Amino acid sequence: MIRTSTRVLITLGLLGLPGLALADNLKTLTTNNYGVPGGLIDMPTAESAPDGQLSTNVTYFDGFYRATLSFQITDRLTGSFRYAGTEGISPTFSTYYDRSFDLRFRVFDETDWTPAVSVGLRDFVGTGLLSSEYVVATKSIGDRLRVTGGLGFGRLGSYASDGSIGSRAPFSFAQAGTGGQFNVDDWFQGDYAFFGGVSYQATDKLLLSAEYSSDNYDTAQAAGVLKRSTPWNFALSYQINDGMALRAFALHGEEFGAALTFSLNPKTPSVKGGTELAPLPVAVRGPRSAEDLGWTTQPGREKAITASLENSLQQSELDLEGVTLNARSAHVRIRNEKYDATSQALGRTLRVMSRELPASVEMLHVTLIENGIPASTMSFSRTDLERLEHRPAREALAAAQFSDTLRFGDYPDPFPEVYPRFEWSIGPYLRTSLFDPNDPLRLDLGVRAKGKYHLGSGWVLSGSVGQKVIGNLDEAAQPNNSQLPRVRSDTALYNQTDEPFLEHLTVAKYGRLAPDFYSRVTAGYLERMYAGVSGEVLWKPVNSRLALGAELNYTHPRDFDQQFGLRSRVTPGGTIPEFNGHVSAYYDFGNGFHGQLDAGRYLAGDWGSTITLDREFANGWKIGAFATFTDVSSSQFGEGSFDKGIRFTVPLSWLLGQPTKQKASGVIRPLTRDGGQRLEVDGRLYETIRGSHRPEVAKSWGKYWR
Amino acid sequence: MTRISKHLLAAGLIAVLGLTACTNTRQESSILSVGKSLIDSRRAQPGAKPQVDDGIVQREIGRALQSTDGPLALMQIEGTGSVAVLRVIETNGPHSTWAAWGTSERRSVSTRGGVITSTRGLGTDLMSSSINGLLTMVSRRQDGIESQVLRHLDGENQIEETLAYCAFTPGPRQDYAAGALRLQATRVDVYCKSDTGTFSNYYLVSQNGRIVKSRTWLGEGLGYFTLSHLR
Repeated sequence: MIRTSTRVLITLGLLGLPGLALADNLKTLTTNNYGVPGGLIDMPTAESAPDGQLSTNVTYFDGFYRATLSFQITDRLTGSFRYAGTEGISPTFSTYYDRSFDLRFRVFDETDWTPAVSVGLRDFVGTGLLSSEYVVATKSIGDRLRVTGGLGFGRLGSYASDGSIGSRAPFSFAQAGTGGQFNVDDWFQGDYAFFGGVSYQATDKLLLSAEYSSDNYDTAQAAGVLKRSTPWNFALSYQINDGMALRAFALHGEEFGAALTFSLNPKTPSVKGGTELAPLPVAVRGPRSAEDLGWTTQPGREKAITASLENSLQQSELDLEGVTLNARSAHVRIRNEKYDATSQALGRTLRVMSRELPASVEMLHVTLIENGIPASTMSFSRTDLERLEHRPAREALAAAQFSDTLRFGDYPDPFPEVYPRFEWSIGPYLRTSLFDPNDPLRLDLGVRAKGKYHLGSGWVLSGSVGQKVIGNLDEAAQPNNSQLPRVRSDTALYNQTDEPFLEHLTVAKYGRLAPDFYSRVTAGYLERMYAGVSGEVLWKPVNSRLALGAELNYTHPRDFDQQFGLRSRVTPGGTIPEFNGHVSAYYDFGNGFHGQLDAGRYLAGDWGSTITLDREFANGWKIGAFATFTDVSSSQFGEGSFDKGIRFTVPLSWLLGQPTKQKASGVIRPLTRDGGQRLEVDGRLYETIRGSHRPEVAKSWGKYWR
Repeated sequence: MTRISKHLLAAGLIAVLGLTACTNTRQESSILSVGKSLIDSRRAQPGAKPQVDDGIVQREIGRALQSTDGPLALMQIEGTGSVAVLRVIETNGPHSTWAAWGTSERRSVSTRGGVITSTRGLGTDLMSSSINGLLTMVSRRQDGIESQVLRHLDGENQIEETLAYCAFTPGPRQDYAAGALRLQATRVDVYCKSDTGTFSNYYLVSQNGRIVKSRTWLGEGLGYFTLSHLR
């Protein structure tokens, strides 16, 4: 007996389960004083955060504020956006605020004997106060100690320079000008210096760091706001939990400061797999029961089946809009307002069908309806459903067939009670204004009521009314010196009203022009600033990761009070043109990245294109960046040179652990000017139908049997 | 505490970003329901394990046995201390799906050969498992090594497979008495090792090879479940 188990245990040990030795490639949850993942203080390291990690860091020391958002874009690539304020450094502002972007790429992974090596750019688009480039190597020695050494240029080559390559324009406030340009010619040029440091993980929560800094804080020293008596910095970081860390540090023997970091990972929801209740199990048909077609001739049977289907789907929080029943097949028309993972809506619909339909029905078809139009039809054989219920989910994906509804053929008409249908909601809203040098964060809180009236297949009347309750957005007095038609830069004027305002009031018609083609026409008060008509056509095959679209808009500026009036197109910067529009290409790379390219005419009449790249997580999180380049010159554009920003979407289901289609989205722009601005219209086609198409459904297929 | 506080913080943020207070649609969750789910998830945190009185459990078993002729089993969840009498609500080939007897609560487990292969509605659910080798080993009361696969959803709703190698060690015979069952059974201890850790299951097998009781690890979130067949 003993002999047996010993043998067994030894064999188990010899199975050689993969080790985890150096596989984590110097991961860290700590961020440095610039909010970038790393265990040192002012100096960078070659460490990375876990893939997808998102962190917000706030660092303060006497007169210096920095707030940084960092995102581990891929395992190797880190991106950061920073807003920094320094008191008394600039001749013109009491506090000089500056936005900056960083990128860092890990070129070599750590091995047993060689360090990880990363290359980084700090403040590579922007006014350049922090501009620097570096190559840095980090090696772990044991589990707790990490040693870093690097070579820096720009700010990171400013103290005790070891040499110089080429030439580099020095930073000056006068030169800062419009900023926002890539000063590629200056990268890795000018004086360089070595820097280095060590970090020691004293306990699970406590990290000690020391570094030799090659940043001379030239501008700050010249302005007399910082003294630097040694090149040495020290810090103590305490990881309170996975999502929060505190740090205290000493800089150059003169300054003490503190930093706070909040972080989360989109891959870690509140409850994996969700806490929603169980689906109904598949009902398996008895042997040879499928031959019984008696039900087809029974009067009233079809009506009874429809009623029980509808009732059962209701309990699964799905809406049955129509059904076609034949001896051997059944086709349901489903509206899914609940499940953000479409696979789950499909899986639950099919299981309900297996329980309610007569045994002779073998083929099951589900057409998903979005905004009143068919977005896709999925077919599944009932035999497969019965056979695969307890099998790995990928087998069910292989058995599922997705078709374009129009190509599939007929689909059920809506029941008479589906239209008209009224939906409403009331809730709070928050509106912010970021990065105003006089007050970097302003906000309004208010109440918003929304209503949607579905008049018939594809016809939607939609409105939203808001009323500010409290806030200080109206205190922003933006001096507007725009040289372009003022299409967006008058935001402050739209925030002055204390009356109820109409966010939008539109009538929209969604339609299907042909297989793979979708259409939308929206007319009315389209958004806060514009009224008009917007028309769109989209080509998107149901199994394709590529979509192409075109949109044409006729717009007229609305009154600043956002009630029913319109105002003149003529603005101090020029006349707002009547027409704008774009052709767009959307592509899902299939590796978690999604690209979008829009080319056309923008609101101010400028021509150009927008590139957007998003990291998309299968659970609905999206974090991306966009940049727009138009025929407006950077001097005409003004500060920032071109329009750019970061956008994000957070699915509420991630937080709740319950399926919901609701999500919070936002865009952060360093600056909003008039060049490269698009119309914002509700319910654009791509996002409306994409979730019902195979590539998107397949991403979260794991939820099919959930 | 940590997970909850992080999510409460985010809840506050998202509440102001776009939640509605009341609505007539399924699409939008209201603030009230968000608050409720967070409180529920806090209550569901392990720690305070309710001790269910054995007298009450035995009475429930008795009532269930009287009310139905179908299969019944007693499920115990070690992590939360919950106990439930289960009845079969559906069968699909060798699989049976069970739900709590006497309630209409929509949480379920499925079994094959008397062993839990999946759960639904319990949070961090076990989506499916491959236990062919395990069933053969246990029912023959053999020693040796077999693999088994547990499948869960990861944070991005992708199926994440845990492959475990398990060592089977049959032990001495013992008495098994539960519900309507009184029999002699062999205990088979199973020690399993995966990339991420180890776990120890055991199975009680009757003379004719039926698994009458099992203690199985169903994943990091669910922990150990014990299923004792009562009929």
